[in-house]
Amino acid sequence: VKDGLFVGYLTSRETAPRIGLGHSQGSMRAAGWNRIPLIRMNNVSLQPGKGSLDDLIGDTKDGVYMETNRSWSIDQLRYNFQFGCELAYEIKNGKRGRMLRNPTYQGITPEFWGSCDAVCGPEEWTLWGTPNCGKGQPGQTAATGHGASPARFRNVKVGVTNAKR
Amino acid sequence: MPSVEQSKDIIQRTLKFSSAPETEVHVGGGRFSLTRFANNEIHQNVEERNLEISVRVVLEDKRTARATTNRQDDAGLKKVVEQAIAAAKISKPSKALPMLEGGKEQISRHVDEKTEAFGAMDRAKAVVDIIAACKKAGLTAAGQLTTKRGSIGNYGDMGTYAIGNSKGLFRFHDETSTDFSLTVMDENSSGWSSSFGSRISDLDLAALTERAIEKCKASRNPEPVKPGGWTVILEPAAVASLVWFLSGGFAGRSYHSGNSWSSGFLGKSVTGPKFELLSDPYDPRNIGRPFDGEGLKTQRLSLIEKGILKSLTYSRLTASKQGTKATGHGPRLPSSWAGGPSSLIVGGGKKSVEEMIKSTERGILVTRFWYNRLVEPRRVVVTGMTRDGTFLVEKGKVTKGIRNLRYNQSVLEAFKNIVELSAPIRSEGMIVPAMKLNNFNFSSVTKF
Repeated sequence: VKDGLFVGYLTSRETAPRIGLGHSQGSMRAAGWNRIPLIRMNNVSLQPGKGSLDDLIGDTKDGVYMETNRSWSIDQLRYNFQFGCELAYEIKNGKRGRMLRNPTYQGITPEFWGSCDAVCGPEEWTLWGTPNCGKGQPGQTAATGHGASPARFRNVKVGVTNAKR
Repeated sequence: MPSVEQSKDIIQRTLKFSSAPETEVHVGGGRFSLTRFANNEIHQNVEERNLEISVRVVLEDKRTARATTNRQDDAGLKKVVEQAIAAAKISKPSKALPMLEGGKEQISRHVDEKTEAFGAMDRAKAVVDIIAACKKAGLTAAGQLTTKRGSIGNYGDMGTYAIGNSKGLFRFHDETSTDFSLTVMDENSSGWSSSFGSRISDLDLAALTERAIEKCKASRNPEPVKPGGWTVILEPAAVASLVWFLSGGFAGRSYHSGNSWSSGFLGKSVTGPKFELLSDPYDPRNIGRPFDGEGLKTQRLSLIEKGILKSLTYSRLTASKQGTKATGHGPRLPSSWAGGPSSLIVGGGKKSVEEMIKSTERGILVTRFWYNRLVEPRRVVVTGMTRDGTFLVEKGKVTKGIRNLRYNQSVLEAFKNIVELSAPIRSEGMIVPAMKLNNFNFSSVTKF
């Protein structure tokens, strides 16, 4: 994605010609000697923007700051997603306030990313990732890298579970 | 797949190389054969044959460790024993109990020779027929047909099918199994079916194909409905998706440490009275290995009866700490995992899905759930999406396909709202009925 426009796919030698590319970008990976390669992400990262996390919170009138993903779910066309985090803090008038429990947020992918209006700078950028991205039949598990700085998204639905025991 | 005699030979040769006071040898693996198809053609035909020998040693001072190899020659077995001993010497002392004494051998075989002989060409011919049916309907097929032998898993994990130890214990379990899933797609709809079994004859591929095709056709041009609390008719696969999230909570170690959803509820209601759950590796519909990671015979357990938590699973060590009997559900040691039940069977009823539809004024019929994840462990709140055949039911009839919905629902709460149950069938690795539930929480809709 460049300047907000979707501009490329992960490709293999088989699929690159189908989208008019003269060469594969080399996205085929296999988890081991006993698995065939599949196209899959290795490192998919958000480029850093500007400013510190403190600046971003200071610039936010009314919001929720969430940290550390702990659950994830998305539909098979990657539109409707939901994430849960370990903890969150309320933001009121530019200040971090009380801690919130079991924070969750849900969105529709292009709408969510379309609502991104700030990304923190390189000083806040960390390479996160998952050790257990699952794909393929028979199954393959591979590590992925996802670098990001904190970012702000507007009008996001939060606290979606609201379930009783 | 090594025979009983060949497995004993591997174990005995390994034990001879060990000078440790206690040594345990696991043999795992077998054959995993899969044909995959997409866009109405076979694009993958794979078979893995592999064997793993895993050795645990316990030294004089109770230090313990495990090392693993897939070499079966003497030099390889000698090396894996040396690696286990070297690792044990730098490990912490274990609190594990002494290894099980030998006693009587336990050998079980559930091998279907026709399934074992069902090779790549047979799978291809079966898939060709499935694709032909989908093409005839103007639709696109994708899916997989798998046969297995032994304990080899889907993600390349070898599992365990035989255990022997330096106290004369020997356990052996051989089985064949099959698995099938099919997704049928049109421009704006899809349908799905799936089944598994011990034998290729357990899979009625023609009926499963017709089912997926009908769902795809019937859910064309889906319309959105509003999220909220709905009466739902969940087909068995959707129910199984929810039940899996309960299964980790029955381990005694988790219960007594206070970090299970079940903690504090033994003998008390955890769901409604219409929900029952059994763990039974001896049921012919869902054969499982009948011994645990230490070789202890696995018991049949009634886990939830009329909504009440009746039993927990116990490894030998946790049982000893709690002053109760081990149930044969312990993990392979050493392990940070607490173990748990296998071969699950959910209690059913007598209503068919068609009867559940007829009795519904307004509701949603769900074929399956997808990308289900645990959101809150204590209340077993799970989220996921419907897919591949989601329908509106109005005044006793299926009236149209609807766009897929996201649910956020406590599984325990959902099973308090059971209205009706069907007869259980094989689905998603367990024996499970369809269920009609009231007030199931859908929290949002997607675009298709």
